[in-house]
Amino acid sequence: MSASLDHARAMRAALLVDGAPDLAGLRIAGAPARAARRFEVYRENVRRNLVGALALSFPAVGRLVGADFFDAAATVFLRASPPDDPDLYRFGVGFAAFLEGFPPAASLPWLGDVARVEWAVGASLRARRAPALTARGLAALAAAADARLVVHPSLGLVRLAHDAHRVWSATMIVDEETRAAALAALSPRAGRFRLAVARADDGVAIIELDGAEDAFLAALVAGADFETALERAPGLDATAAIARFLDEALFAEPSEGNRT
Amino acid sequence: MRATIPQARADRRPASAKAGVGLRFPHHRAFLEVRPAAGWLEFHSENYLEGEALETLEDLALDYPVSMHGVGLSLGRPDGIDEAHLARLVALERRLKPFLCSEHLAWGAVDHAFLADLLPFPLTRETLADVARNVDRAQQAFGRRLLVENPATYVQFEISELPEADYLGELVRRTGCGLICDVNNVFVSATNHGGDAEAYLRALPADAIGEYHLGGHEVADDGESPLLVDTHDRPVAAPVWDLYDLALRTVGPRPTLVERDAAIPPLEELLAEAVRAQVRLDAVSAAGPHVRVA
Repeated sequence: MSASLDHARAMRAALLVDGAPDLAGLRIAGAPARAARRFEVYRENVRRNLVGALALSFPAVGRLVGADFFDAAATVFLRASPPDDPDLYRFGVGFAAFLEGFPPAASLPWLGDVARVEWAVGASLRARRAPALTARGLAALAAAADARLVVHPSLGLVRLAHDAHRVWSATMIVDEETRAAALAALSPRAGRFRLAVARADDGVAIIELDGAEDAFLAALVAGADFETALERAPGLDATAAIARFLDEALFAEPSEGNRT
Repeated sequence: MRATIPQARADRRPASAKAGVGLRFPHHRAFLEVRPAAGWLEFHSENYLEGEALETLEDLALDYPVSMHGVGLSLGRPDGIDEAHLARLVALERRLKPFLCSEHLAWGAVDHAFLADLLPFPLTRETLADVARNVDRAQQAFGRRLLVENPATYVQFEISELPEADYLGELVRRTGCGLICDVNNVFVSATNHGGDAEAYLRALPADAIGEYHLGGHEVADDGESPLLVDTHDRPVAAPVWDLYDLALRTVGPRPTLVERDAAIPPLEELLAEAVRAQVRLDAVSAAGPHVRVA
């Protein structure tokens, strides 16, 4: 193994370790105490940059637990599972599951589900813009031989064990007093909740789905054609569901860019 | 190892050396709605890979020359370039057609961990071979010359074998890459390591420098002496402007970036700082051919 690779690995370990890092192998110039204080600038940059990336992706979790708690939880998470991709928008896919297993957050059993909602909302907001399918477009689609019903690029499906989407919505209220009142009026409950998240004119729409609707959209997201998606969703009132999904802009106009 | 120098496509360089600013999310709306005068915009590649951010940038690229500046390719990684990430950057470069394409002399990823910082490494002959290999690969994939930025550093390593300016010069010689001279980084590193900023500037191969960067730094300390930290959270410091003036006289005018990454001010304030750079650029450009000091 090369000396340069050994050095980079030792430095990565020192940057991510919890507690005082072992710098002996890094051969930093200067007296050890001074070298340690200088190395700390990098350690803190790494920690703060990655906490910052998580804070951007999970603002509601941050508001619910407070900045200090969030900072501490995010630090434990990033040190145990740093991102593997320089696209930091993709960092945090495991944060919901982490929060569910994080003992200090045990009194908020729905916190992980709030993070799941936020993850889907973030993905939806970053998705490519594309015109939503109109009723007229749908009619044209039905008449064309090789046309395909495709979901909107901003559509995400979320499955929750609590109604955490209500907590998320209340948490995102900007006015502090209104937010506090909305949160106080909530009592999150356990249950199976299936959501569609998609970009709307004024942000993001969160739509509750029943089991058949969820199965139908999940099949389309996975690339199934209309007939197959219907087969996967027994009991679906297709006419009503499609009218609702059209209204919520969950489908995209068929174009070259939307076929993939 | 001798690399082929990709020359397939010429840079879409602005006609003369202009001052540009770093494009940051809080300024998107102002740029989209007002389209204020700015020589060019630099974007951090990793923030614009997809979605609405990319669409905004594509819109602005219709009105401004853009420069693509990566912060995640990790040219200093010893385990080879991340091909999947490089492919995304190449796709981005094809879409935006930036007039400059750049990265850093730093690492931020090894194995499968990305650490979201510009980290230093020992300046040895072995790491030089690693970096040259990565730069070769990136230039081959982009089909164009990459500019590599000198870092701001807080530590040095006992095992380093080459002064940083010589290391960069050797990288240029081996790969045909160009350089960004980040004037603030020159000042920060020289102060932190007791070096001579002016000597460093003169030691860089002037012909390879394709761009300047200017940013602000924080004055902290390491318990014994001042430690400058490259925070980009405030205006460019007076001694950095002086060093920039020296660079303009000795190296010559080049596209110059003014940037903030934290405590981001209103756009007008950032643009006003770019005007300060533009005034200096214009003064040097009007003075005719620069005098090169050996």
